[in-house]
Amino acid sequence: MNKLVIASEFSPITGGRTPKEGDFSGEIFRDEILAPKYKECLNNGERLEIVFDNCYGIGTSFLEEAFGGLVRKYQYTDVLKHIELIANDDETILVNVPKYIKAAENTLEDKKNKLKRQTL
Amino acid sequence: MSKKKIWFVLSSIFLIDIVLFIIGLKNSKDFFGITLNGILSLNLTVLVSVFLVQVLVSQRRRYDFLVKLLDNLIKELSDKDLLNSNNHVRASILQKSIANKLLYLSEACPAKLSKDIDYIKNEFDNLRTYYGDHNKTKSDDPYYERVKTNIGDKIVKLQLELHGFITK
Repeated sequence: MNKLVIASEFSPITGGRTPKEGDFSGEIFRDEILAPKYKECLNNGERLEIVFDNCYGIGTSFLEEAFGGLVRKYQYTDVLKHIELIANDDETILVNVPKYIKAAENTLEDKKNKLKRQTL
Repeated sequence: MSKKKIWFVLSSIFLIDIVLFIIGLKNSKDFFGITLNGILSLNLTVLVSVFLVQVLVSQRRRYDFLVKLLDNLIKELSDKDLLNSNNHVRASILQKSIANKLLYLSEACPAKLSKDIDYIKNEFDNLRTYYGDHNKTKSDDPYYERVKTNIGDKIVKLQLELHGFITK
């Protein structure tokens, strides 16, 4: 299993949603760290273990942009089957991240269905 | 009622019991003549009473603990650095701590309070998201004030419910 430790591989102090809100945003994390690593794991048929511990506190907008955005921008589906979340310091992450991923996947699914109906 | 008064009442009852016991022993030949049914029903009554008292005391203790936790949450919510982007590290730590406590609270609270706790969790999530999306916003932003007040009010409601002042 491949491992991604946010505190050491990105930053222990994370920012908001976009770079406009400050350094170490969810968008930067998603595009520069999470998405490449996730793609590598998918190609190798591995699961990605993401460790959120030892950060000072990760905001909900950071998480939504990173994980919801992973689905929205890269059109990945069934993301939860390919990742494992480790969050002992902030246990709400274990509730919130799956919620953001599922919401983004549902929106993506709706969009696809709408497109299908329009082409028919 | 003060402790002295309680001790006085309990001692008086105990003394009256002893006096009645002695009088009963002297005047009645069948004082110790009790049927098996009588013994069993007496024991059952005592056991049920003790059990019920224990359950109520234990529930009261749990509720008192939850009320303390809610007090703590109110204190943390009113911390000036909670939404202070100039002290982002402390704000993040505080937000994380409150979110964790709310999660634990939702697991520990009685089911009848789950709706209000879900409301608080949602409002706090919205607050965190707003903070992350508007990092340059000052901590006295009216939105922050509104949501913090909503959460504070709901916490007071929960405390009143736990103390039995509000019953549904």
